[in-house]
Amino acid sequence: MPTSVRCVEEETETADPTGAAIETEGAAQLLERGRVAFAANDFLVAEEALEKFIIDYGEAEEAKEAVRVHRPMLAISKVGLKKFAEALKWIALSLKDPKLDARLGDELKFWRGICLMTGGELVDAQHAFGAYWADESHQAFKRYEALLLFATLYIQQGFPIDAADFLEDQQPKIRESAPEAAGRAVVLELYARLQSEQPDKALAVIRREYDSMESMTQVISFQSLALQLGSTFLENENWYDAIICMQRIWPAEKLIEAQGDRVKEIEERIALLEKRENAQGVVFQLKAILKRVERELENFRKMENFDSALQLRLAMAYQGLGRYREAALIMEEMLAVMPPDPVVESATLAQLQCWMEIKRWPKAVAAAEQYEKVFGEEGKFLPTVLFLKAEALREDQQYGTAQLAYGDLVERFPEDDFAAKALFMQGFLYLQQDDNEGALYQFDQVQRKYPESPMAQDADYWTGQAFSFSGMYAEAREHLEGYLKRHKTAKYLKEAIFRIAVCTFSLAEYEDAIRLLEGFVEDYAGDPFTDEANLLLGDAYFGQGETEAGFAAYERVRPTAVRFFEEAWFKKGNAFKLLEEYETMRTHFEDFVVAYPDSNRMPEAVYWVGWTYLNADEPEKAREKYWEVIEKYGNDPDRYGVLDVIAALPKVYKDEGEDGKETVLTKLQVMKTRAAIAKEATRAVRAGYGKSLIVGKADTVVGSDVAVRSELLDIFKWVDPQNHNPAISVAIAEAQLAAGNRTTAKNLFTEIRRWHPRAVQKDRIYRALGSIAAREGDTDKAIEFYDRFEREAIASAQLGEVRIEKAGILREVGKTREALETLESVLETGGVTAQTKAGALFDLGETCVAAGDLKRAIVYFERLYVAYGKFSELNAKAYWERGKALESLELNREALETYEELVSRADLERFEETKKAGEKIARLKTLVPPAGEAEAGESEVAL
Amino acid sequence: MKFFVMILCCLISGFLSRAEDVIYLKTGESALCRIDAITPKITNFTLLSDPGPAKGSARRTVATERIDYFVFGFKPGEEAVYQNRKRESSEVLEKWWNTWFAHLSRPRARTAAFGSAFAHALLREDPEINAKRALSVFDRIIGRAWSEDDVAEAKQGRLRALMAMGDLETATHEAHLLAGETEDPGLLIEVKYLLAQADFETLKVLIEENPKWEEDDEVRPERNRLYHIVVDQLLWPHLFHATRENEAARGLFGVAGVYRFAGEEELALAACEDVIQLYPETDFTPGAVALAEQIQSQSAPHTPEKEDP
Repeated sequence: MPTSVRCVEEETETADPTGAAIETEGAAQLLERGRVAFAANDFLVAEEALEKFIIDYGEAEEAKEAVRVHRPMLAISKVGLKKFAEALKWIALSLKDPKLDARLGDELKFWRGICLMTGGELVDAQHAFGAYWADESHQAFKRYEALLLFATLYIQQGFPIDAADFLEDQQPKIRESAPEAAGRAVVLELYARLQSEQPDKALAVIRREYDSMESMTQVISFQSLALQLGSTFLENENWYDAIICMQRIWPAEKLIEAQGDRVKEIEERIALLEKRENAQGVVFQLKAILKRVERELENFRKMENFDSALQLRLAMAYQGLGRYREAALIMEEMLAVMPPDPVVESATLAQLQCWMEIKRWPKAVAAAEQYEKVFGEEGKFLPTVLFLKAEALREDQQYGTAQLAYGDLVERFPEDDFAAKALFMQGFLYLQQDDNEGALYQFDQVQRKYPESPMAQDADYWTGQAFSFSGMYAEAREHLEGYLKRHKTAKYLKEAIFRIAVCTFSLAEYEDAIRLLEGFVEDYAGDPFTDEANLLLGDAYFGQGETEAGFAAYERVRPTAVRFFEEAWFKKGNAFKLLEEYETMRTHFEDFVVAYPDSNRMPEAVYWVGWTYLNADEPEKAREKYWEVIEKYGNDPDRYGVLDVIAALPKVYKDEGEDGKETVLTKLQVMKTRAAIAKEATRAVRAGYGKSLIVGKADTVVGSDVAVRSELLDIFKWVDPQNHNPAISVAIAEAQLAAGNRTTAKNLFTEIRRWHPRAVQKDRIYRALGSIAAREGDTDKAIEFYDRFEREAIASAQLGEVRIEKAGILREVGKTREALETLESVLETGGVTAQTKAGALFDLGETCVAAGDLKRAIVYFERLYVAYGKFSELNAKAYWERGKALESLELNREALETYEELVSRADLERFEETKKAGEKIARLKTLVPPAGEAEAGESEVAL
Repeated sequence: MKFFVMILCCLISGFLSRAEDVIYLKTGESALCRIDAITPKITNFTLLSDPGPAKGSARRTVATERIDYFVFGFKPGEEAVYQNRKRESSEVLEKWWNTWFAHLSRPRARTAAFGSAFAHALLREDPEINAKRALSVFDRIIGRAWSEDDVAEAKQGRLRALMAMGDLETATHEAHLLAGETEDPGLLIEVKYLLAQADFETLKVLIEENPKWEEDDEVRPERNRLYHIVVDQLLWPHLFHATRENEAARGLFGVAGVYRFAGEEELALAACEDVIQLYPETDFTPGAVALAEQIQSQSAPHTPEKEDP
């Protein structure tokens, strides 16, 4: 029950005995003493004196008027002393007095209700308050109290709905005239709605009154009830209402401040009223309100975790609604400002889980780190948090960091349930990164350290898998057989049976493999593994020479398992070839071309169709087939495979030598022309690109071959970087670059990268864009592209050359250290040609010279001609530059020797540097004494 | 300078001629009057009340430095425009901005309010053409307005103008500064909203330039960062100031738009549903209802018409 409606609860002081003197008083003295005490609110003395007067003298005729006048005072004094039952009698007598003072009558009628209520006569009390409220001539302040007490009595009698409806109806009528009372009426209404189990109506009260909360006397009560309602909604999984409710609850600090302001206001009002006469009643009521509000405030201040509990509940509501982002954001904000407490700790974990739910891995990692920072080793969820952090890192593909995070958990909490899982995940990560040995070690650790953990079985199974992935099929099979024996309820029963069969097949034990695979297919009919099993079965049967069974097995592979299905198709075709059933083989592959033109293997099928014709000495039919496919699919940009068919055309014209090549070129030219007229851009581009492939070399950087370049420039007008194969677009862009059309090339490269960021030609794209940027003087952009090349195309054969180009730019912009590092990295880059390495060495030497580090430069130049002697031009330059550097270091003898070595090399005779070296030698010889003399001289000095 | 002050005085004295104004002195006294002229040194005014038994002239002069502030009376037609200034056209507002311009720096003048409304109207009517002009008006207010509230509003307006001009970088930078300077939730909501809009524009450009961003290891992290930051910022009023229902719903509805842009139809539908359920009576609720219906109709399985036997 809310505090607003409890009535008189003022503590009264212990009675002050008036002593024996009273006995000696007469009627006048008693009345005088009673009146004075009453005026001073000393109800104890007033009651005693007035009651004694009435009892002792009341029957006397001359005292009747005095009794009539003082009876109401006695009644009020008894109320003041909480003697409600006794007061009731005196009130009744007083109210019968027709001459009763109106003000006193008003007072007594109100207190009659209180007395009845206190005495448990609830119906009569309610009537009394109802009558008081209905009569507008009554004192306004008390009327509002009567209204509230009337409603309270409904609640006390078990009719909260009536109370709420009554208040809802009456409250607007007093809002303007008595906002304070209206505020309390709202709190009571909300309470009644909750009591009535009318959550929707209660929520309506909260929505309706939110804007008036600022002025509400019992704002804490109101908000506490709102929290209660919100929690009820939450329990009932009524998420939206829970959110609406809790969104309208203030933070504790704001609530305390607002409630404190209200207390001050009441205190000021009391102080003001106490100075007025005849305001005791109001003061009395206000003090009661003040006491309740202060008590609420005090209790609220004692509440711990109010804000965090509220925010957590709100976040839970969002979580319940599936709004994980919202939940996480609320918790994030809350954790940023709230001191750590148990609620905050739970919220941090919940936040982490929410981020993981929406796959926002960096946020999940940050939340985990925040938990570690705030709660440290004391955090009761720390192992869980560490595990989730590692999981988030793994999902974010930060495998190295994830590996460390799992390890951290195992080390810090070896006894925790998560430790075994973390250890297992370390092994799994190794497996993902093809480190089977590392995986085997971790899985072994799981089984040794945590034999009782459920993860031990996982580690056991994956050990077998790791053996299998390493090609150790015998060990894998043995291990998995053991796995099935060791675990009566094997978690990976199906997988282990299948893998044992696969290992048996891999060991070429076809008879056993057939038995095991057939058993698997029968036992697990329809399982996705059965497609691979049937493919292997086909192989095994053919291995055993059981052709029919082999074909039957291949045919059981379903088209839904695309990879296995196509493989089975081609194996079947190959079987026809081995069986020399060429007609069947041709039809088989022709069927594939027709049925699966989108397949990456379509050109392969065309090839085999052509092969059957070539084999039958019918090359024209093979060609016909090729052209048929090219004609049919040539203008469909999605059929990338057509380009492979075009590229393979020379093979079916091989028997005609150069004439055949010419025929192909002519036919492609015709195709291109017709396509252009028909506005079939894709076909035209493909025909032109096909021509360029036949004219030049297929996959080299375009530029040197004029014929290739002009063909590519010709088809530029049709190229569509969004839809066309980047192999074509990149070649065209390179041709444009080679032709000096830098802007056109740049735009095309940019567009290709835009639409095909994972194109295999991205190394060429980045290199070209870097080079264009460098030529445009945008060195930052150039370095950015070269950096991207290094990050994304690390396996490219062009890596070394790109690094040299990048180093050149770095040197140009004065970043000598970075330039040297880049050039050094070329020497260590795998797959880089010797010529590129020689070039890198020369650039290293030159960079050192430019930086004034001559001693270092001479080492690079020497290393060049010592290690890469076959690159004559570079060798000549290296000798020359080394000689010059030695001269600058005043090492004339060594310089002379270098020049002499240069001129002594016959293969370098033709270079300018060699000719200039002769002059150097002549000059240096005058400065450097012959070797013997010098040694003697040095000896003399030494002596 | 002297000439400029003279011109200013003439202008002020001209347009103030028929207003019912109040002068509040620093002593606390006030006078209902008609202000005739204000110079940096003196203010001339005519008392509108009875000049007293002496029946002397009603014209008075007071040293301007003794005046705390003026409350200028509305001129004919001005009050209606002032009350409706957020919806008035730039043409109408420009007149009042010019009328009161000289008083921009005076305490309690309405100039900044008219100026902000004028600049916002410019942006509303044709952002591309008017952005520069709006920016200059906002900058005038920021530089000279007396009220901090007016300056704060003009700063928001400046961000909008910068965005309309396509200068997202400056807008974002200033929005961050502004967000760091204030604790006023209203201003923060607006700034975050503007930041979200700016970031959303950047996101759109990024996606336009990188349609295959999902396949691009370099672009994907930046796309994800922008996407998340836009959504987070738009959600802010909904999560932390939900009782400002219109702003909360605006953000949430904006989130639905971002989700749609990202192809997250289910999330977009959920955001619309949240607007409808949590903020049923805002300016953005009808839009959310319509969008939800659109998404549902697009994702509803096609039911073939019943074939005749």
